Amino acid sequence: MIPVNVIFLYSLIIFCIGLWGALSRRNVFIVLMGIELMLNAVNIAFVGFASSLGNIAGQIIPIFVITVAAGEAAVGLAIVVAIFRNRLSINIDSFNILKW
Amino acid sequence: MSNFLAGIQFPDITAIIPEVIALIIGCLILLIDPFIPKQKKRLNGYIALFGFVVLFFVTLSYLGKSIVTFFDMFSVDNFSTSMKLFFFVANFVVVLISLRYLEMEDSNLGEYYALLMFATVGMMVMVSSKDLIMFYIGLETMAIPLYVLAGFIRMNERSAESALKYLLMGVFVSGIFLYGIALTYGATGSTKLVDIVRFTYINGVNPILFVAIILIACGLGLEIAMVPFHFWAPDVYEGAPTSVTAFISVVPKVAAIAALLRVYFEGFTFFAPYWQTVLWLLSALTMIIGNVTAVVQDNVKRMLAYSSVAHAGYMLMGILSFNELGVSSLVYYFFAYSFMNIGAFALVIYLRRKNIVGDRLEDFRGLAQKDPIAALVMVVFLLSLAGVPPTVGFVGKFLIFSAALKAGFYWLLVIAVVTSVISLYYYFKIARSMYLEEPVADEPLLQPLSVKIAIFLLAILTVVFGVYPTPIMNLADLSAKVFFGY
Amino acid sequence: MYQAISPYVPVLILILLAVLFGVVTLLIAWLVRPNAPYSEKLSPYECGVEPLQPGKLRMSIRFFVIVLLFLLFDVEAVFMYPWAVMYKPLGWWGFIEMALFVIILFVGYIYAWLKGALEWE
Repeated sequence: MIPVNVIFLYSLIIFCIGLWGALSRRNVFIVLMGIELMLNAVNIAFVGFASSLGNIAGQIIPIFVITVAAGEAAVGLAIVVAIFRNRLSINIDSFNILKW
Repeated sequence: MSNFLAGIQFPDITAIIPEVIALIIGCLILLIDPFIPKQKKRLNGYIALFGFVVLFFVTLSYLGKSIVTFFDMFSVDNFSTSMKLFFFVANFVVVLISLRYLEMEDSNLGEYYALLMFATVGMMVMVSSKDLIMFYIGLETMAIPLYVLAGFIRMNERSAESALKYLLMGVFVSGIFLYGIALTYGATGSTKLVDIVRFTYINGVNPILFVAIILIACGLGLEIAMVPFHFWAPDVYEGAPTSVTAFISVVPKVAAIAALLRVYFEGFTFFAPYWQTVLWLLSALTMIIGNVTAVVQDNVKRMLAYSSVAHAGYMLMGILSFNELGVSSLVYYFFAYSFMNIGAFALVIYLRRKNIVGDRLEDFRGLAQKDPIAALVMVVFLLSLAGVPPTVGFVGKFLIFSAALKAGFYWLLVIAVVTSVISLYYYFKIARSMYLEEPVADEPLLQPLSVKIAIFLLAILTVVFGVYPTPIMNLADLSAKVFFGY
Repeated sequence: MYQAISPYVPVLILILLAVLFGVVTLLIAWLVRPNAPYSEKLSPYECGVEPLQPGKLRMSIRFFVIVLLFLLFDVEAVFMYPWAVMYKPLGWWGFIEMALFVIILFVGYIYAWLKGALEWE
């Protein structure tokens, strides 16, 4: 058994990497990847807590998170395509009609 | 293995009938839309209108019932029922103002109403759930259709861009929200509010939960448009189709506040002094930043966006008072806010004409001469938003302020009153533009009938419930009893 | 602490060996090989045939719609695994719930079909 503290620390590190990626990068796809990383960190935390608590609920929750993340990614990519048709760029800095 | 389900009772299906009906109507619109010819697309809107009326009366029959089912994860009580009634009233008006507007924007597709229905299902789940994961599922069921709705006018660059901004912010914040849930789960061993409150009652206050409380507030704070997460609001409100703006600025915000209220009241009851302090700070910042920034805006949609940020601050006061009057005044404020805010956006739609979005301050110039009744109605909405009697806005603000007074938040009250006075200035700017400036000669107003009906309905509600607030007050008192005083 | 991690020590050793093998091979090749590039050598390798077109091909947008649909339906199928494991104990109740879930998915599928998302031309 890996101690739960180690799993928690691991998920926290991955979460922070995702957070950093989502906040610092300018390419929409990399921002989305950073966000996916955050969600996966949450999944790791859930599974880790579930195994340490001996509680099955924490192993089911990641399934919900994964499906929701897929839905969000699909809508996000569709919107990016809609913008790309208008603008021919996927750099966040060029989305400047509305003030950020 | 075989009898591990023995101790579990089967869920009570009657509790979710309104949700099921809403889902079926949404699917129905989605399936029959491809068969409807392009000129008759308005039929979808009529189905949605009819659906909301049916849902209203079905849900009305649940008033007074109290069911907790689906393994303590789903609850039908007066609070959730009155919230659902609120959604149907607000959505009915939103559909009414969308009917002609979508034709003007040339994107009159059935998906619009289906997405509206699906978002409504998400919000209904949100206000009824007693489990953090159910909150998350409800939040996302609500949010994903909203992203699409914000970008509904595909060929419009602004619309698509605002949708992307909304999506990136939304997904980012939902990750933070989930981490808060994961921490709660790790600390208490359950995501059910009942178990959380039981655990904290037995084991005392756990420091990890302090972090979790803030993260959960952040996650719901995006839809509330609370201060650290208010940046998206003006951009999305300006870029999205105006009817969608009217929807986003009212209904999801109310759903998120109702959800936050339930999580804090039922799950983190023993942390009350702590989250009251957090919300105190956020509420004060939200009111100050919202109202002060609104002063310098010259786009009416952006101005209303900042004003809705400010109103979120007033609504947070209702939560942090943590007393019965706070909840009942909050429920009243939800109704009041929906009447006046949707009304103000409906006026922007009313001004939509060829090549003019109707959201600049110049578009309102001299409206009193061109269309005196519309100008008068807009003044009613603006007075209500500013909180001047005899309107619903005044009664709502009065109730919320007295709840905060009862809880002893004097400094917050001072901030709220001062910022309300500031808000008078920018609402007055629109009124001055309508009454004191000469009209510019441009395209004539279209005056679509369904928008007219919606505006008059809202104006009448704004005044009538301001003079005679008893019916909504009764509903609000019923819902407050869920949390205090059985 | 050591007791807790011990079953994973072989995995760690394997990872280290794998990384070491790759690095050492590349290092030796870099030290030993002669460096004489010319244009044919630098061009992309396409099974020995002359390169036909630039490597950055633009895909048809139709692939994109199909991929989105695939992504969604594929991921939704993950809900069936826990149900399949617990199929017997859940009985008819579980079966009806899963049937409802599939029906809702099917509505989405029919919608995509009616809208022509599955048409190639």
